[in-house]
Amino acid sequence: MASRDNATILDLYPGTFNARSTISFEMIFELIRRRVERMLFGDGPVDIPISAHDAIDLLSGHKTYIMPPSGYTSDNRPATVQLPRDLWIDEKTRLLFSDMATSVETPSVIDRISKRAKTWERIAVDYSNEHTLVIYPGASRGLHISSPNPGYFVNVIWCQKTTINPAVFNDVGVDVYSAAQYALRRADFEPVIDPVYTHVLRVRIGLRTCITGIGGQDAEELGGTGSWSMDIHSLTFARCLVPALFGG
Amino acid sequence: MDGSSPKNAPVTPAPYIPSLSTEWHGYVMIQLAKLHPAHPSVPSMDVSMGAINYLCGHAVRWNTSGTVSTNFMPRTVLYHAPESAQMDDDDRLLLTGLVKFPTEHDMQYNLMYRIQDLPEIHVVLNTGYTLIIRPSANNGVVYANDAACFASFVKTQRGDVSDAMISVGGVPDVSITLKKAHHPKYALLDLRVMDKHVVAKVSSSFYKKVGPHDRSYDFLPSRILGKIFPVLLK
Repeated sequence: MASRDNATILDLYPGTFNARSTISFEMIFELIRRRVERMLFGDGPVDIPISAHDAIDLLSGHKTYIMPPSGYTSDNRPATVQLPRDLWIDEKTRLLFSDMATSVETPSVIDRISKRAKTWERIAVDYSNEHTLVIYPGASRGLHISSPNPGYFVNVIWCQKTTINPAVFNDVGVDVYSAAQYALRRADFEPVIDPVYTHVLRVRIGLRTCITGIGGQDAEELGGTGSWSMDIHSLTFARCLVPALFGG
Repeated sequence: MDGSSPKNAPVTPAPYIPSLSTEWHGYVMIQLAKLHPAHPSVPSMDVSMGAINYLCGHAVRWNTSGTVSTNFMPRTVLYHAPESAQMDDDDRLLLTGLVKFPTEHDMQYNLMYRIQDLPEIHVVLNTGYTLIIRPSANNGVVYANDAACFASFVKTQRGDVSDAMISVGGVPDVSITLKKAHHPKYALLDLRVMDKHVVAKVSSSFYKKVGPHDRSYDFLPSRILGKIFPVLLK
């Protein structure tokens, strides 16, 4: 399979993660909250989890009182804590987390996360038992094969796995069409593919879609014609939203 | 009032355990719930923390009363506090502590220290006199309004509002005891304000006007918290 620099990358509209639900955002925020807890108290068990308000306040750079886990202080009194400055978030992210934690404004959360997706550094999703897609959402070139290259939007990596989790939210969509199928289904704003290609690969994530022509051999390697959906793991979402909290 | 003012009586520390718990917590929660820009809310931890964030200048999303959008999501509005209503991080920490851990001794001591930072506390004695306490002053007692003295007894002016009320039990925040001294010309004033204590020899004429009595007072949360956090009253 050959790399395709000249693939067409279309910028779509906000709301691309529109199959995401309120509960999925709560789950993502829960991971962020637990990570804040780990930053404060380490890996040990925590008797009284910190509240969502506390997590957001701490990420905002405020000092707050926390009831520490047993053994943190000899008399189990509230401790004043503050996160290091490099973990502080901006005001827009604060409001986003607040909306995620309190389960309001889900459509707006979907739009805001979709808009942010373009700035995320790297997302890896399980495509099949043999391939992983590594996506660099802001990259300008199209398709790259065999090793992750940050200059390319979609990277197909060979990676043997045993199980693939079923997709629920369809954050990433991959379609492999024959040239004839694509000609029938192509939307007006989608590019016309050179007839030298027998197949067309279409990959969608967040705000962007990558469309490129591929050969029959490449299509076979990707599993033949068909459509596949993948979810971005909650942990990946959380890492993309606050990279510093997850080690950069 | 005669001119003899024992203003050099030393102010000494006294054993005192603050007990500023339930009533103070309740007042803070109610005032924070009133801060909802559109309509007062029912006090709760969520509302209190939202209001504290609002007072700190953060954008806060609040539900409007009982309305839902066409997609059955609660209808919310984003609010920003005006700059004049914003408070600093120290105030925020104390207010957060009072909301989250009102009965913890640390919070009560922190509040006590903030009360001691207040420039003046007025206690209307209902004897025609008002006791003006200046917690950070160390110069004892005076029978006139002296900014350098810990306690000033002045005639109550029309419109004076007390920051304390008669104590109903427990450890009082302010206690005043007047006793006859051995010398007929003098009496002994024993004044305790939180963890500060002063004993002063006062003239018997003052004793006759103001005492004799033993009185204890507790600070009024609405008055004191209003002085510590003026934004709560806006």
